[in-house]
Amino acid sequence: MAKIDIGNKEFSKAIQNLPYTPNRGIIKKLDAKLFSLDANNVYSYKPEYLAGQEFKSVCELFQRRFGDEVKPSDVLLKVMGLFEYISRKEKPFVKDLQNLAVEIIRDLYNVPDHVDLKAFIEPRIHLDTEQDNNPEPFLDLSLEQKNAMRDEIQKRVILNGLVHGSSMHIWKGVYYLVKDKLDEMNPQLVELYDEFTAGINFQFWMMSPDSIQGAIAGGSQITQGFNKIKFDTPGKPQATVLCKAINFPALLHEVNKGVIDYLICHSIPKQYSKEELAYYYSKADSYENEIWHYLLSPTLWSDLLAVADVDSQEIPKIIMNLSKLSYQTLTEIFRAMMEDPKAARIKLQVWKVI
Amino acid sequence: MNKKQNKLLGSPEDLRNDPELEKGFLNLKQFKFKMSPETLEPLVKPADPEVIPEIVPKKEPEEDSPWNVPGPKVDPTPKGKYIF
Repeated sequence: MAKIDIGNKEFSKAIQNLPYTPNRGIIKKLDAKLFSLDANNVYSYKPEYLAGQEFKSVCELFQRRFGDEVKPSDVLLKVMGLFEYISRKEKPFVKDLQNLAVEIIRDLYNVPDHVDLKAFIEPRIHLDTEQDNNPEPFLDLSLEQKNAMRDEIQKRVILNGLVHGSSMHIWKGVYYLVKDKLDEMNPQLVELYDEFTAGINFQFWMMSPDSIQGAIAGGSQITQGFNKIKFDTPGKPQATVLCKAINFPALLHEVNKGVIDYLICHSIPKQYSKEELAYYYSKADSYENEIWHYLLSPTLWSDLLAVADVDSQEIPKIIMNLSKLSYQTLTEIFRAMMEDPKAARIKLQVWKVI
Repeated sequence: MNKKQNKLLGSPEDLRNDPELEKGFLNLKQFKFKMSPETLEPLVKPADPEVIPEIVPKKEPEEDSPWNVPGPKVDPTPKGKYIF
């Protein structure tokens, strides 16, 4: 059978000079621009750029933290061992680490008390993170209603990219902010976190997205953490953000995710009925998007940080302002970031994002 | 006040070690519920006003604050089943 023509293989070209090669399934899907986020005008624009930049950064981190000692084929076993070892070393300090994770993220963004952050380290997370896949709440929605929601759904996909992208950024090393405290607990922790986070990050690129999906469908437990926002009252800002993770770096990731997730709630259309909201979340927050957010969205976030060039405490306002823009405007801004950062900065100013 | 109620005025250790109470009233809370408020009152140590935490209502954020997020009708779906 003839090979399917997948165009110019832009992603393959973008990574050809890097020391490692991602999983073939990832390369194929990105070269063909056929992945779960491909209906989005930002992610389908230059996925080779978004993915290429992130893979380059992942390779550099991997080499810096592991040197030549660990082969790519050994990473999975290595991180599994690290996970067990970290759990043992963290055990005497679990409460301190939970408090520290909340303290770091609160300080980073100046999170006020009405956003109640509850963080827990649980090395064995139960699968209470099930997404509600029941279509019943929105079975009665007409095709017209669903079509009318398309732009809002795609807008939330971009904002979800900021949630995931910022959290990957936090995951890679924000624990250095509290290195002194971690060293007091156990001087091995930071080095263990360095290897664990770089190893997991690298591993994302070595796994087939389809096999991850299959493992989940088969009930495999590979969850490292989750977060859930619960607003006290509709229409009011008071909320509880529950975060659970297997260890400290994963908990930092989750608490950050919860906070940015809270901020992007500015974008949730107020006029939607409960049924419409159920459909909107179901489409925009679908778990099948997650692996692609890990691969593509860190670049979206690091580009935003570079172009906006602000202190971390100004980030919440930027997220709010972006959340209030239309899908079309967000597309325009994020596409400009991929092509011309100076032009993108002007757009951020014109749209009063910064 | 009857004999059993009287025993409740003892220390928690006395109560825990009292075989009669254990036999008849395994659950101290249940026993207390049967007592009248007048009997219970002296059992409650008056709280030190200085240590009573002041109940402060959650502060409302400024109108234009990024933290003034209107809670939607349905909470957002949790993210993170796969890896995170």
